[in-house]
Amino acid sequence: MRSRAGASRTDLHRGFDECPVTIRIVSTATSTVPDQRAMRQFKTLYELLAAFSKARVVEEVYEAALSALLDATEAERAAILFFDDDGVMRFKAWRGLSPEYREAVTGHSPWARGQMTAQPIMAPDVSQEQSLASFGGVFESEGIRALAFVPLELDRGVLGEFVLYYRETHLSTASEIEVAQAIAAHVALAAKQKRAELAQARSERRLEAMLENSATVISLKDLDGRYLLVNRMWEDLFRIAASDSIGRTDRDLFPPGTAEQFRANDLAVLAAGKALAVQENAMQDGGVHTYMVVKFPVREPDGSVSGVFGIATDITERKRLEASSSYLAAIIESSDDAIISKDLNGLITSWNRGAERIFGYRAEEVLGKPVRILAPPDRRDEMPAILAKIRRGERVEHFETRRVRKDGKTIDISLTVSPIRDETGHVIGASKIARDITERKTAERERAELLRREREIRHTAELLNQVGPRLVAQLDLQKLAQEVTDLATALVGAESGAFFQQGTREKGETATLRALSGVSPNAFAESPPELRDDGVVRKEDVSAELFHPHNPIPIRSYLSVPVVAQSKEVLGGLFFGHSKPGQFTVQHEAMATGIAAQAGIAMDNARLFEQAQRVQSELERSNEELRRANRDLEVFAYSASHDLQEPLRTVAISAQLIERSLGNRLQAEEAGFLKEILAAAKRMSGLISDLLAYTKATKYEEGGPPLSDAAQVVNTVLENLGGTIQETGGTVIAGELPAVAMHECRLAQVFQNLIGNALKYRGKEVPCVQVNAGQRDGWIVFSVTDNGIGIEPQYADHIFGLFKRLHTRSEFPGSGIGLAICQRVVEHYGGRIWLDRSAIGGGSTFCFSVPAHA
Amino acid sequence: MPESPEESQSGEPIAQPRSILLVEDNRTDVFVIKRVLEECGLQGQVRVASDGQEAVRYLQGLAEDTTSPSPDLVLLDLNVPKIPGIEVLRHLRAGRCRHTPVIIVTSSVSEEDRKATEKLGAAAYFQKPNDLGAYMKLAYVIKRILAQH
Repeated sequence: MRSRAGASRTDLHRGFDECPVTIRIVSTATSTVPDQRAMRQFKTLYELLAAFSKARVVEEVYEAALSALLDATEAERAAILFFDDDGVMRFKAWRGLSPEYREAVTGHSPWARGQMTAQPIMAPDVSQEQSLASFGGVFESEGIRALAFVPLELDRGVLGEFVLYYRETHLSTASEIEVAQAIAAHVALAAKQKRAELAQARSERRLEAMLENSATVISLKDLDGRYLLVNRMWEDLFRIAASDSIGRTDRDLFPPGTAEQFRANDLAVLAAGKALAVQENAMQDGGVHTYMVVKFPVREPDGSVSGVFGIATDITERKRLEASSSYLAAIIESSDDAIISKDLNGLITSWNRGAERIFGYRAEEVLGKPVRILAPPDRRDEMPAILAKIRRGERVEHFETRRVRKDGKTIDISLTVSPIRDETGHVIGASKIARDITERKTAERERAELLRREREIRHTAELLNQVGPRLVAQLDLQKLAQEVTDLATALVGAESGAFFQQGTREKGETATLRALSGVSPNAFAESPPELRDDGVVRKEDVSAELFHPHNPIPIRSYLSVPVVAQSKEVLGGLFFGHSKPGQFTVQHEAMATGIAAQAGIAMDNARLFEQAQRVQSELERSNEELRRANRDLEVFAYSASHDLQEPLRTVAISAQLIERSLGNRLQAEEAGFLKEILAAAKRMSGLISDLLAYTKATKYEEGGPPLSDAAQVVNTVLENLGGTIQETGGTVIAGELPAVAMHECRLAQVFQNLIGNALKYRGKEVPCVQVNAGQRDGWIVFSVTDNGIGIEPQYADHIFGLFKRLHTRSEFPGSGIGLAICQRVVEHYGGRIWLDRSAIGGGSTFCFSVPAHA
Repeated sequence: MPESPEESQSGEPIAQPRSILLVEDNRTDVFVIKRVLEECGLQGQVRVASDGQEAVRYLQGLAEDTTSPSPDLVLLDLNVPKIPGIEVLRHLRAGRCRHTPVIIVTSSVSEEDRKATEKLGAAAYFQKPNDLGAYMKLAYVIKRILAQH
C-alpha cells in the first residue's frame, strides 16, 4: 500500500518514552561510586534496548531479553512465558529447558491473567515450596533447585512471566529482581508494540490485498477532493496511474462534466455525514459505463472527517440486463401465449398474463403450486417425462397435448419447454410456452369428421357404381325390379323391402306391387303405401302411424325412396322396414337414394329397350310388308307390262302382214292408216316400257348403303347412248364427278334421261353436252348442260310432270315420262331436280342434288 | 341368247324334217312362223298345239304309240295357256323327244326363263320382235339348229 512518504511505524523510541515502570537504579549500597554490578546492569539494559530497536520480529526481542536476564542474574537458565488467548501460560522463549520439562509445567502460573500489581515470587528451595510440590519429580530430573518468577505487566495486568532457574538453592537479590523487572517491563512493552505492529502490518497487508484484488474501483480523497489513494481497478478503469492521480483532484483528471458529478457526490456525502449510494457515469472505451458508488466519510479517531472513501461497482452490464430483462419481462407479459416457468420439482415459479388468460388462474393462485394441476388426469404422466428431458438439458418442441383450465374446460395446447440454466450452465428449472390451439384442433377434428363422412359417401357411391351397371344390364323390367329390391333391402339392412310400380293414368293412380324382399317381406304386401314424388321419407318409429294396423310384423323403422325416371316421371318407390326403431341412418338413406337413382336409370333403360324391341319388330314387319309389296309390284309390273305388250305386238305384226300382203294394192290413204296403226302400236309399246321404268323408279331399293361413283356411272350411260352419240356426232364432256350416296342403277337412270334428252333436243348445231358436279352443304349438285333448243321459262316445272311434253311426236319422240322418272328417283334420295337455266335456242342446264358420299 | 341372223348359215340345203311341233296360242304368231318355215324350205308337216295341255296330250300320245313318228323339231312359246311352256319342255325332255331340238320362240325378256330353258336343254331362244322383218330372221336360227342335228 502506498502511503504518505516518510512516515515510519516502528518507533520503539516512543515506546521507551512511554514505559510505565521507571527504572530504578538500585542502590542498596550507599556507595556513590557506581557499583560494578550496577554498571553491568546498565550495560545490559542498554544493550537490550539496542537489541530491541533492531529487532524485526518479537522472537528476537525475547532472545535479547533472555540473554540480558542470564547476563544480569545468576540464573543459569531462564524462560519467557505469556498467557495465550485461552489464558494458558505458555513458553515463548527459553534457554536450556527440555521439552519434557516444559510440557510438564505448561499452564502453571503463580498469577491469573490480567491480575494487577503482581509482585515477583521467589522459591529459593523448590523442595520446600508447598505450592510447587506437585512438580517435585520434574524439578529433580531437570536439575532445578530454585526458581524466581517475575511478572510481565502492562496496563491491563499480568500478560506473562519471566522465570529464572537455579541449580542450587538461591535467594535472588533485590538487584537481580529489579533488573529482571526492568527487562520484563521493556519486554512487555516491546512485545505489545511488536504485536500491535504485527497486527497492524497484518491488517494493513490484508487491506492492501483486498483493495488490490478487489473488482471494485476504490478511491480515497481528502476534504479538498485530492486523491489520497486509488487501487489497481481505478488505475485500469481510468487509465491513469496512481502516481499521476495521488495529490490531484477530479477536475485535474477528468472532463468537467464528469469531475463535477464526482465532486457533487463527495460533497453530498460530507454534508450528510454518512454513507450514500449514488450512480456515476464514466466515459470508457466502448461507451458510457454506469457505476454504483458507495461513498462514506472517513473519520479520524477523534471523530473528525478527513476524507471520502468511494467503492464503485460497474453496473453497466447489470443495468443493461435490467433493461433487457425488463424488456423481456414486457415481452413475456404482453405475449398471448402462456409463458410459465417451473423449478426442477415442477413447482410454478412464474406465470404471465397470457397464462392467466389461457388457464384462467391468476398468478398468485398458482405460484408455488405444482404444474401438475394443469394437466387432465389422463395426461399427468407427461409432466414427469417432460421434466426428465429438461433435466437432461433437452428441449421439447411443439408438443401437442391437452390441459385443463381453472373452470374445468379442457383445451388443446401446443407446448414448447426449454431448460433454464444458471451461470454455471446447470439446469435449474424449465420455461414453458403454451399456445392455445383449441380452435385449430377443433377445426382439424371437424375436418377429419367431414373427411370421414366424405369417405363414407364416396364408399357408398362406389358401391352404387358397381351396382349400377349390373342393374342397367338387366333389361327385363320384372327381373330388374326384383334385383333392385333385393339389393337395396340387403344394403340398407332392412327386414322387409318392396318395390311398388306407379300405376298408369288409365288404371288410376294405385301402385302395383312388383317385388318383395328381405327377411320378412310380407310386411308391405298387405297395403301398398302412398307413392309420393316429394322425396325420401325416413322415420325412426312409425308404430304410431302404421298404415296397416293388421300387419302381423310391425314395422317401426321406415324408409322409402321414390324411383324417378330421367324425365322426372315417378316410376315407383322402394320401401324398407325394420321391426326395431331407429335402424335407418342418414347413410342408409343416402344409399337407398343412390340405388333408387340407379334403378331409375336402369328402369328407363329397360323401358327404352322394350320400346326399342317393339319398334324393331314393327320395323321388321313393315320391312317385310315393303319387300312383299316390292315383289308384288315387280311381278305385277312385269306381268302387266308383258300382258299389255303382247297384244301390241300382235297388232304390229298383223299390220305388217297386211302391208306385206296387200302392199301395192293399197291406196296411199289406206297405207297411211296402216302406218298409223303401226305407229300407234309402237308408241304404246314405248309408253308401256316407260311406265314399267317409272314404276321401277318407285321401287324401294334394297341392298347395302347406296354408293355410286358418278364418273363410272356416267361412262356406262355414255356407252349405252353410244349409238345416239355417234349418230348425232355429238360430244359429251364430263368434269370431275364424285362418289354419291345413291344406288348405281338409279343414278344411271337419271343420267340416261338427262343426257339422252340433251342429245335428243338438239338444235341445228352438233350437240355438245357437259356434265359437271359441285358441292353445296353436304349435297352434290350435278349439272347437265346442252346447246340444244332450250325451254321457255314458264314450262320449267311443267316439264317434270308425267306424260308432259312440249313438242309433238313428229318433232321429237318420247313418252314424256323421262323427267318424271328423274324427279321420282332424285326425290327418293331427298334431293331435288330443276331446270337451272335455259333460253330458247340457247341450250339448257338441268341440275339435280344428291346426298354426298356418306 | 337370241340368235342374230349373221351367226346362222344361209343358203345351204338342209335336212328335211318330217314333222314339226309348234306350240303357240297366238294366231298371228302361228301365221308368221308358218311363213318362216316356208321360207326355210321346210315342207314337213307342222302340227300346232294352241295350249300346253294339247301339247302334252300329244306327247303322251306319242309315248303310248311308239310307232307314230315323233317331231324332228319343236318350236315352243313359253306363254301358252293351261300348261305353261316350261312344263311342256319338261315333258319333251322326258319322253321320246328328249333329243329333239327345241327352239323357244317367246315374247318374254326374262332372264330366268332363258336360263330355265337352257337348263332344260333348249337348243335356241328366240325373242319375238315387233318388227316383221326381224321376225323372219327366225329362219336363220331354225336352219342353223337343223344343220347341227
